[in-house]
Amino acid sequence: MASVEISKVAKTFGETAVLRSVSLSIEKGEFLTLVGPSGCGKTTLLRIIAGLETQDSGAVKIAGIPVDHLPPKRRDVAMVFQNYALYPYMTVAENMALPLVMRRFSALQRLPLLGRLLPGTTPIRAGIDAEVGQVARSLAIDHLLSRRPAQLSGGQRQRVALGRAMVRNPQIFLMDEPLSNLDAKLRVQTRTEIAELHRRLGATFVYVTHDQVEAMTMSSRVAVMLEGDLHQVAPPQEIYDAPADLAVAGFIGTPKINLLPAQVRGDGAFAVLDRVWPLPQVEALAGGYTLGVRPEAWTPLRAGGRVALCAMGGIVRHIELLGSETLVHFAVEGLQQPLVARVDPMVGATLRLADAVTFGVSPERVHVFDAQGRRVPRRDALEFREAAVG
Amino acid sequence: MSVLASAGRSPARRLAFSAFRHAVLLAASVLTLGPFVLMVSISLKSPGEIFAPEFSLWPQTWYAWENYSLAFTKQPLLRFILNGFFITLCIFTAQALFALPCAYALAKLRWRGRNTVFVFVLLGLLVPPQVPAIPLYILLWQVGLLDTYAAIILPSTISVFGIFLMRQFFMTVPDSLIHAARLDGVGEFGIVWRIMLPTAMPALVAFGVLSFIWNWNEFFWPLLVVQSEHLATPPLGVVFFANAEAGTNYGPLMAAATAVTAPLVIAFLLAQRWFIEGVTMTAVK
Repeated sequence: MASVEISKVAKTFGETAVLRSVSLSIEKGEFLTLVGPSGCGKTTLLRIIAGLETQDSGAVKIAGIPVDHLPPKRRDVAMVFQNYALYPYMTVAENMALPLVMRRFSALQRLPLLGRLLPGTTPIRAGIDAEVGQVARSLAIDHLLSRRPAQLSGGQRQRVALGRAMVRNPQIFLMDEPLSNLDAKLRVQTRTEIAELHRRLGATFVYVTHDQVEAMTMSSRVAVMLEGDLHQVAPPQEIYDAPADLAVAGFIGTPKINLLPAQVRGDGAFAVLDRVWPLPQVEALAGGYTLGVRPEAWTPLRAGGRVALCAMGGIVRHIELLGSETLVHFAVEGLQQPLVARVDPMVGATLRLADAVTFGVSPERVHVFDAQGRRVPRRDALEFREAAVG
Repeated sequence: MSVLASAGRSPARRLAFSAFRHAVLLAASVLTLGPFVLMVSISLKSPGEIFAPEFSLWPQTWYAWENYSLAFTKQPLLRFILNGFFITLCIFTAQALFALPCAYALAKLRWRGRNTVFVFVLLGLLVPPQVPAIPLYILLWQVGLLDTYAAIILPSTISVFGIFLMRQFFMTVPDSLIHAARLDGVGEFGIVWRIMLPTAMPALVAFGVLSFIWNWNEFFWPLLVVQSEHLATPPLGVVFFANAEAGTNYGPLMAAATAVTAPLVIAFLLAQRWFIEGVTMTAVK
């Protein structure tokens, strides 16, 4: 268990800046997920932590000690790769034993044949075998120890890769999209297993993925990385409920957040297309804003029903049935893209294509972003909630 | 290829195409195999039958024992063959020792001038071995190594082709395998021998077969640097034999040639599967 301190790390490959001054501190025993689209620099950052890549500037500390000059093997980190990176001609047991063999045997003892004859080799070998066996049992792969990677399924290879990382008890586990080569069903199952593994080992996990579901379900904190910059580092629910900027809001959440252009009027209310939305939770200066509404925040309003503070009317263009929920795409005059509302299937069943619909959203569920795309902070979350209840 | 070419045609045309293809292949095989078959056939015949007007592949009188025993006793043919094994083994070992680390550095390490060095390797492929022959000869003479095993072995110890072939193969090995090894505590040379070498076994075997065939058959260089009979390589030995017999005793001569060719054929047959895997270049599935 160790903390990782990344300060102002930058990296360029040729002309492209892959990382621009990234700072991040990862606490002991934390499960931190770096999430972002491919090419955003998350894997490069992981490799810099591992020592496989050297940063152009900035510093990395592990457990408070600068490690920039240390080679990968002396950083006490283990990594699980997307393609597992198992040594193809070694058995599962040999794959898992290699990190221990390299650390516990001298160069002479590692020699084939001759090494066995040297004094002291046998007890060390027995110790290694016992530890490999123990880890293999904990991952339920002990029956595969004599096989080669080519004879294993994707899920089994993934476990062997985990086992090889676990066997030397590293302070930090680095995982580079370990689930992306698994099929959907196995991915869900392994997700749970990795989260359990983290709880059991108590080690620090740094997990890289482009899959926001993995990021949301497994992590204690999520770091959203876009084009070489860290946009937000926060617990998953906070990332979803209070995205720091438009880019994060747009990246996290499926279907994507609905975005509406708005202007602040003299009385502080927001003019959204042809409607007026009072949003008392923010104190906004005059100017252009973008409002974000998550698809599930919309509730359908019936003619003659209760009047919502913030409403938007449109024409139903498309209805997607997902079983547990229904996605209603409705076109609004003045917007190029239709808006998406996630509704109960019972409600969805009453709607037809080309119906005129009105959806409402409660003001506190509207995200407000300024002209630079930054989130406009709430006046005071607590005070606002009391006012809403009162 | 053939599937593509014959797709969408009528069965009759496909059959005709297939027959044509086989005819071409058959003709090529006969042309290639003919001399070998003839060589083996003559090595089994008596002198009278070799020059007999009527030709048959199968000998009427079995003369193999006489021809082969003559081939092995007239000249120290066994010695030549052992020399051949010793020399090719030394050369291949040295070539592998140089080629693997070089190829690893060229394929997987990032350093200044890497591409320039690789261009030099490619240029090296273009230089025929006869070009540096005279400078090398003078060099060996100056260090007093002429007429030794070293004179045959040393100039071949670095194979540009080997470096090139292994480099191309290493390019297909995923970086993550090397990253994993570095994290597991394997040093750079350890990566070459423990990780890359076993992964590249098919390519190395392919290169081994090629290197073995080249150096076993090499005639020009050993002829230049070796005078002593006890150092002769198999092709030199066959020539010695032909000279000693004035080139007329074809039975034993062909027996000697067969004995000298046999190791090549056996080596190729043994390594055939790996050889094909090696030249088709797939490292890690």
